[in-house]
Amino acid sequence: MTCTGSIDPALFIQAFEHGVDGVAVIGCRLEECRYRLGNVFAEERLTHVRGLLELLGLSPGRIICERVTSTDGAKLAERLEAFVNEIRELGPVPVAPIRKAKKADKESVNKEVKHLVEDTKAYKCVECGKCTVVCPIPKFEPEFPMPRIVVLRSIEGMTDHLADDQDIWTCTTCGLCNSLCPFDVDYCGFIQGLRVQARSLGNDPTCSHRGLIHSATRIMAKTTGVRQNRLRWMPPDLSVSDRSDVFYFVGCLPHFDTILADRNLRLTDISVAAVRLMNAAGVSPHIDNDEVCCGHDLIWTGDEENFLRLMDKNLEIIRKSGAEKVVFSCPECYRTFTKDYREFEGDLGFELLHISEYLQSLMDDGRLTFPKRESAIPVTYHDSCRLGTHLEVIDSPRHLFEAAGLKIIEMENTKNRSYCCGNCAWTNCSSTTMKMQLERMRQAKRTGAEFLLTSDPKCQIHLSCAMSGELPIERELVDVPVKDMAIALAEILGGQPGVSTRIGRGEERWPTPER
Amino acid sequence: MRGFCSKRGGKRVVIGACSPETPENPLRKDLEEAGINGYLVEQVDIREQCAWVHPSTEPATAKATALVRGGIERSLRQEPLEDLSFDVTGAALVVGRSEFGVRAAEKIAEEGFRVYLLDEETGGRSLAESAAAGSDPDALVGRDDVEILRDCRIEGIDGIFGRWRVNVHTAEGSRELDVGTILVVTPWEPSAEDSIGHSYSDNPDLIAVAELERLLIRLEKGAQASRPSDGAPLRRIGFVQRVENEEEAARAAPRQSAFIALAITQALRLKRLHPGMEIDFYVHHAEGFLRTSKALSDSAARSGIRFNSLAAPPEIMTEDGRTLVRAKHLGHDEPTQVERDLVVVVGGQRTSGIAPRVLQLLHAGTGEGLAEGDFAGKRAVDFNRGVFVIRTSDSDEAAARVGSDAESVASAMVRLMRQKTVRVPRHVAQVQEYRCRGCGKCTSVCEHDAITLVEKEKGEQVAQIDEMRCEGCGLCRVACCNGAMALLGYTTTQLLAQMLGMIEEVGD
Ligand code: SF4
Ligand code: SF4
Ligand code: SF4
Ligand code: SF4
Repeated sequence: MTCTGSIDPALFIQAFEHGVDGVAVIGCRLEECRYRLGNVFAEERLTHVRGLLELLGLSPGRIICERVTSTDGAKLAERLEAFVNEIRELGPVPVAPIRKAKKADKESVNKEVKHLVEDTKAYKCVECGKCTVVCPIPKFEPEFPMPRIVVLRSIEGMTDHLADDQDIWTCTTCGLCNSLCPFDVDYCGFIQGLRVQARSLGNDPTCSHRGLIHSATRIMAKTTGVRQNRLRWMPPDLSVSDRSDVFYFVGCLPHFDTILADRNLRLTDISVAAVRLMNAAGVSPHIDNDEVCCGHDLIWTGDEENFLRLMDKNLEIIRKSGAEKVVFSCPECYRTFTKDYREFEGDLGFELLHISEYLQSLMDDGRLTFPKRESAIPVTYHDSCRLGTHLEVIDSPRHLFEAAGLKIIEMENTKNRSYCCGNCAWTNCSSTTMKMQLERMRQAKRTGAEFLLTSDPKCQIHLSCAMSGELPIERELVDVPVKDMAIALAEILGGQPGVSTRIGRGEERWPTPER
Repeated sequence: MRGFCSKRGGKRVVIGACSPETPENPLRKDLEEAGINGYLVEQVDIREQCAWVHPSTEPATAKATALVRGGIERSLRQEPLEDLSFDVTGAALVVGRSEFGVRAAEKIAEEGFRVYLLDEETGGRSLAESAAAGSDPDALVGRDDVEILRDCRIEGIDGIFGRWRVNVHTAEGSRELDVGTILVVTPWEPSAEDSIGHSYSDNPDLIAVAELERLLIRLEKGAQASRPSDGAPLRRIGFVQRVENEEEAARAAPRQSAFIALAITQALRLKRLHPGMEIDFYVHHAEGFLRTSKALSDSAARSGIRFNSLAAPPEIMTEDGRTLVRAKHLGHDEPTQVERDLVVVVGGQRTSGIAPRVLQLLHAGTGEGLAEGDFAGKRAVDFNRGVFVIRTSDSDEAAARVGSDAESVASAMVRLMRQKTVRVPRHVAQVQEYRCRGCGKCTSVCEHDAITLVEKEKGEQVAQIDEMRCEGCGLCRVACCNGAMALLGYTTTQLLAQMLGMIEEVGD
């Protein structure tokens, strides 16, 4: 490598994922960077990577960084020897051994695709073209053949393209085509299955953040007997209970905060807000340190094997907790449980609820009330594909906003006809994605709302990402602060003053509640 | 290997041998002549990595096998590329006449190249002393091939690497010098005496960046962080910009940037050793610095180092053995006064008048601060593209090192000029336009000003690389979140494949 600054954080995590027990980084001394600041950047990233290791339950001491000059040979040898001993003491990283990835043979892939065509009713496609009209991608990428062409190819048994087809990764799986198809073709399910087959043929997507997120997820899937450290976001005054019949599934918020630390996102404010809202209604949820990623990003990138491992782990801990309800603030986790876990497991034995649905039920029972406001704050709401289009949870967030004294001004594309934030499962982020994000922000701006609310942390990350750099258009056209729904509601409730999302420049504050 | 390539149609070659990083790899050259693209030749270093460091054969062989396997995986993913090439004019410019500049000039002239020596005092041992050491500057005057330019000023530098046209203003009028290589000799050590001044020098808790450097070396070796005056633990450190008055501050701001940058790297090292240490910077007129070195100041901020931008020059006072900093913060009417265990004066005015200007001109388009930062940040270092910087020093111990640096830099310059056309590996950044979001994350980390955002079509920007400026550090590759930036020869795919290959070979 040319400089320690050019080492990707992802490379560390991928090393551990593949069974490496320790990594030594050896580079130039801090003040002697040939490229001026490379090693300063490197040090900073190492801090984040170590933070991620801790979250995952691996010792941060498994990475050392030695900065030496050409005359430090003896010193380096000594340090490396000590490091090897330290690693011996820590023992191996308990990851499941990698099986040598065998490429699937074409026949079995063909068979699987055939099943897929049946399961998702893809054979019913009559080429009406409704999906092509509604799909947001061709607007920016005219050569994108989605969706029916891909379906047709598969129906005709043409699976040759699967080994290197990029189009199946470009689809954001927003589900608009699903919801409009008059013949009930489950196009998203079809793409999901096709991706598993493509991956078995060695067709991997280009992962954002160079695969770091997927790799960390796989570590969660493959490690056994590690003690994670995922609860550090919890302030001591939150009320939680191990015997609660409500299980709050936090998801990957702490991980995103660590992985994207340089963006200062503070996504775990969302989970704090969610628990505060439940607390306000007298509910102390169960929160589990052994929870793992729901697997959304793995199943949507075709890694069924590790997805199933995650699913088994999660189901086991939830069942062990004895909870009857599982509440999600993240729409992706919610969708993954509702659709994918059920598809593999049938009835899960507990009820699944999005936080908006749960809060609404608490409100209906009179357990949760918001302070009255004189004048309503104008906001607009971005239905994430998972919540709005895939699961059709549309009314409960809006009821909550109304009760909290917010006035919703709808965007052009809304509810189950929403417009995707451009990314799914951290793949294929591109210039097209950027254009979609700016288009969505433009829609939000046109409403004149003061805030763009959403319940999906990833939509928030992607939309904010688009806004954070230099823009190719005037900022005034798109500049609306993006804010998480739970945080907004908790702030209005008054329990969590001053917590806000950052986007682009500066910090936006929520107006103080009127009482 | 040639036979393998010509008879069997071999396209890629992996060699397990010594370090591949020699400037001209003869093996690679040979294979290129046999029709193999040099970028498809992968040399794996199993000498330094294995034979030289592991006493027993078996593990050394196992490691060598794994390294070679990694090399194979990487080579399989390399693309054939063409070198960058540029012509080099056969003349050199040496800025700074100290012992070291003289020595380099002599050597270059001896090898048959024309040298322009810009007569500038740049520190180092005095000329008399250097004469005693065997280099006689005045002897150069007699040489036809060395022209000493006195009382002159560089007005501008045009051209690209290897073909610089330097416009010099002398007493006799303007001159244009066509040179292929440039050496800048400049003092690098901020001087304690100069930066502190007499009034403070009796306070041992008030030191300059140069002294902190010495202290840091001790701390990094495990010494206790204690206050120089009484040995009490060091908890709060203030870095204070040295300025006497507002006017001087404004004038010194751009050159101060380099010293602030140096001081921040020191502060980061302190934080690394003692995360709990409170570190504050008190800087007046910091805008220039904050603009050009945003990444560094951000990283300082993230490590908990506070950066106070002041409305007036800070004052340092000593009272009853306590060291106090009086600072008027921006937006505050009244100055506040804090006590610090140690106050480090940031600055030092020993950089010569012309050297920073040369670098600034070479970095056309970059802020002045960045050019100066090159002094602060680098050792005697080559810029790879025919521009070299040597930092001189007053200490005898360092002088020996700098002397040998001067000679090796001179040889490097000669080597470049002799080649006439220099080929540089195309290990530079490359943008994949479809992926690029035009977000500018890469531009903000590039320290070499090699990336610009350009409009692709209306409402869409894309990053563009200036291959001549790109030093191939790869920082942009890591900064880009969505894989749009590749470092040729070191792409994410290649590195990952190399690593996984090695892991698989090692097995459990
Ligand atoms: S899921 Fe969305 S992005 Fe994918 S094909 Fe359907 S409409 Fe297009
Ligand atoms: S939009 Fe930004 S945060 Fe989202 S995947 Fe792309 S680069 Fe990453
Ligand atoms: S590789 Fe380094 S020098 Fe080249 S463009 Fe990227 S950051 Fe700049
Ligand atoms: S960081 Fe990546 S996406 Fe952003 S401008 Fe640079 S190359 Fe393009």
